Amino acid sequence: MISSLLVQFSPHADQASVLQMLADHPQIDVGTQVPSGTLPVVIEAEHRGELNGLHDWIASLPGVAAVEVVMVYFDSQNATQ
Amino acid sequence: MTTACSDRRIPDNSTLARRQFIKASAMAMATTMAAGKATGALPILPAATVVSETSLDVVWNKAPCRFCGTGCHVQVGVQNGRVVAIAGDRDAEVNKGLLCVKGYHVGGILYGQDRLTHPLLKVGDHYRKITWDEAIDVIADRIMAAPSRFAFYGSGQWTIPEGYAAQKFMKGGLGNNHIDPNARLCMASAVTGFLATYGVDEPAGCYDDLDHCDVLIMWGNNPAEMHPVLFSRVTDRRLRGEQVLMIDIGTRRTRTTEKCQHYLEMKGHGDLAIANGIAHQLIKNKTYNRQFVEKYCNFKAPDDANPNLHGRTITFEEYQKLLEPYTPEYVQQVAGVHAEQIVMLGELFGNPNLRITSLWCMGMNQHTRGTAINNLVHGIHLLSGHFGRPGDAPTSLTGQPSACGTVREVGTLAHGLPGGLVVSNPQHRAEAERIWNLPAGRINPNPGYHTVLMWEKFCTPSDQGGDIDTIWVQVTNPGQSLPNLNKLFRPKADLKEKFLIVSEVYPTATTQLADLILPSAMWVEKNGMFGNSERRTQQWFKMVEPAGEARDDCWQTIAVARRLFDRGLDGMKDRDGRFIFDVRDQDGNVVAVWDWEHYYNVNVDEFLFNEYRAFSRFKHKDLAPYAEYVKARGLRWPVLEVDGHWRETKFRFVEGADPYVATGKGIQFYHSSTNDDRAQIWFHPWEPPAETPCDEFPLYLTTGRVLEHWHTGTMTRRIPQLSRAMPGAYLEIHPEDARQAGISSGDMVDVESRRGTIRLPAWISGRGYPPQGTVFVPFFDEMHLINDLTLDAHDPFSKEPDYKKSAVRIKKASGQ
Ligand code: SF4
Repeated sequence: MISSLLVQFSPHADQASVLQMLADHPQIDVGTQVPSGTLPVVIEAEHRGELNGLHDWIASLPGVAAVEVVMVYFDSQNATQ
Repeated sequence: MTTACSDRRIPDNSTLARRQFIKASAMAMATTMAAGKATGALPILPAATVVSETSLDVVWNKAPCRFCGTGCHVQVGVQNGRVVAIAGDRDAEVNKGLLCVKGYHVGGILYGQDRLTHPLLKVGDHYRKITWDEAIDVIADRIMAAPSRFAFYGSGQWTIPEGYAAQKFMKGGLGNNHIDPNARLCMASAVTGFLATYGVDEPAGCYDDLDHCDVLIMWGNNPAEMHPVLFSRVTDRRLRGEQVLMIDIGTRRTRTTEKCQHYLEMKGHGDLAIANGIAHQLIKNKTYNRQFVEKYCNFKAPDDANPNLHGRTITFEEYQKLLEPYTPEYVQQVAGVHAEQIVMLGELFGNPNLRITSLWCMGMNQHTRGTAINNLVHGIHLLSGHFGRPGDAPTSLTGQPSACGTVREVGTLAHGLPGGLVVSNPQHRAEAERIWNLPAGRINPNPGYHTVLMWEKFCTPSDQGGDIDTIWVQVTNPGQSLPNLNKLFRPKADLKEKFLIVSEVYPTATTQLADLILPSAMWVEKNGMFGNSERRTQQWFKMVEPAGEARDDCWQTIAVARRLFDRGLDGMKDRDGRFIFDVRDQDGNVVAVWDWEHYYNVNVDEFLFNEYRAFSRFKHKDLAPYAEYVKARGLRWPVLEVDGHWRETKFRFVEGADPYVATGKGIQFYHSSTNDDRAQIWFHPWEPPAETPCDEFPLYLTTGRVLEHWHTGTMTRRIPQLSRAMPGAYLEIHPEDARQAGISSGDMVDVESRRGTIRLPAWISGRGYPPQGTVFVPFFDEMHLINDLTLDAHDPFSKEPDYKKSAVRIKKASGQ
């Protein structure tokens, strides 16, 4: 499954270290941050449970205020797992 | 933390390429979305580039979105029998490739884990799997036992052929007319408003008005969340530097308000006074369009001795006199808006150089004076002459994808017949009997029960006047969406003689009380046609197989009809003794479409639609042959053949745009109820709501929807991305009301009306901002049924209940 997300930072977040953690993750592609501070990312997972786990992990990073889902591409068998 | 699995499958080259491509598309979408946020745009996404990619073994086909009445087209990507991707359809005029967040996730609605896959019969306190054959027998037994006590309850989510089949089954077959849709609960007041004004239903204009208006007035409407793609058509014009004045008239601040230059915060029912205040200004300042009024309009007032949609004719002078009290100061007093705001609206409508579009949806329709406020908004457009040019029109929106196509046009209302005909008119019945080849007198002249009455009768013991014993529900969820559920739905649980049949896709609040559950195919698991808010009829083909044993609702209706035919029920035979759904193949041979194995041997939708088309001409709502809709991204009726091409109509009643307007007429209301080609400008007085706050219940409760969830949430809550974005219902409350009640954001609060109580978390300064004295709760969450609290008082003409103004009290839940 592939999903694109928008990561919103809180005002005083240490964005550099969060960006580094996201960039280091093998299942996450980091996009170009826009001036508002919103960061587009794409995550890839084997199944929905893993996708949810990745989403929750990003949301739990220090300085991340919110994570919004933009789209999801669900492959054949894994959509409802 | 989730880490990458060490045993991840190694993808082959083509899979890898495909994944890279999808990831690139996903990133492009997210980046566009992020950029949109930076400029304060709406959550509207551009067409995914995946549509142009053909090397992925994904087959793409068109379909309208399953959710709202906007009627966006999507491209559906299917691979190995499953929907795997969704993209906005760039060839669709409605959305031009854009979709809102719900639309982008629409494919996911097919694949929730708890799809209903077998017919289930309630036996004692559990459900037993039964065969389809047994299920059809159970329904046939119930109908044969008491045909006149059977009712069919559908919705604006029925496809056009599904609604047409149900309509023919009831009115042409059983002849008891107890068929009504949930659209009664959302747009019936718009129907009566159009009928009382123009003599015929549905808007004169279309979405193109949004591209041309100088002023957009939203009356109790929040299109930023409910019709976001339409709203973006206007906000995008502003981003391009065009001047569009946007005005929000509402009872709470919403995302729509954020984009508007003016906000008029009114009290409940204040809209009646505001509209009268505008008319008063136009006459006082002599800025009404005298020429337009003298040529094209009459004046009407309610006939109190005999209330009806024709009212009594009054003179201009009487109209002027009735409006006299509605000074800006008086409107300020009863509606709560500032007097200067009424003067401003009066000046805007008095300016002939502007193009003004009014938009509305539930705010004006779910109203115990819904017909009246619809009449009044049409009236100020007519009085000021803001009618008949692109961008200059009053336009209602619908919440469901086929509220117009299936309910208003097919006429699946208790009083209706297809094409705008009504059962109470002998000529209309005769026309329907002719088209359906029925014996004369088959159609019952008495309207059936409207929604509120149908469910009230069903929830009343049979020996106490409850003369509806069996209801068959298709494509809707009344156990959550009816008002005052403790009166109109829940009593069924204790009435053993009552029998509830529910055709559904997922378990819902309605299936909880069902005696028989039938698993249904949904959206692209079947052929279908919808009609959106701008008179646009849309078509799609089945793309994937339904889950388990789920089958089309249309097939279910035809199969039951056939079982009744086989048992000898006369109503299921036409004048020549043939089955009423006598579907034939190209060679003229009968196809046994009641047998699921043969249902898709022919295109049943095409057969039913082409039969239904014959009705569309009576009220000049002409439809093209089915094959034309296969080629198009929808066509707006009336559609007429001109020089071998089927031509749609953007603006009705206007010479040059509407082929039915006679040359030289300019504007012609050719279905005028006064038979003089004129529309009716109504006066209706301001009246208070059915329930107002008092010492005991000091707050107004208003209910509605949110961007992420559609309707009762049965589909969107099964999409993790949407569910996570908006997990559950909440109580939106003003900070001062919260402070006085000792409530903080996140606290659980007991909300109580005269009809019920629920417990919800509070959200102060959340998505919307209600004024002091008002709270808001969305209705999408089946774990928090706000309709336990709402009122079933309804408009006397449309019979549409008011979900927006119930009196409640709140208390911080104990134990916190
Ligand atoms: S939910 Fe409505 S606005 Fe959103 S994509 Fe579907 S039809 Fe368009």
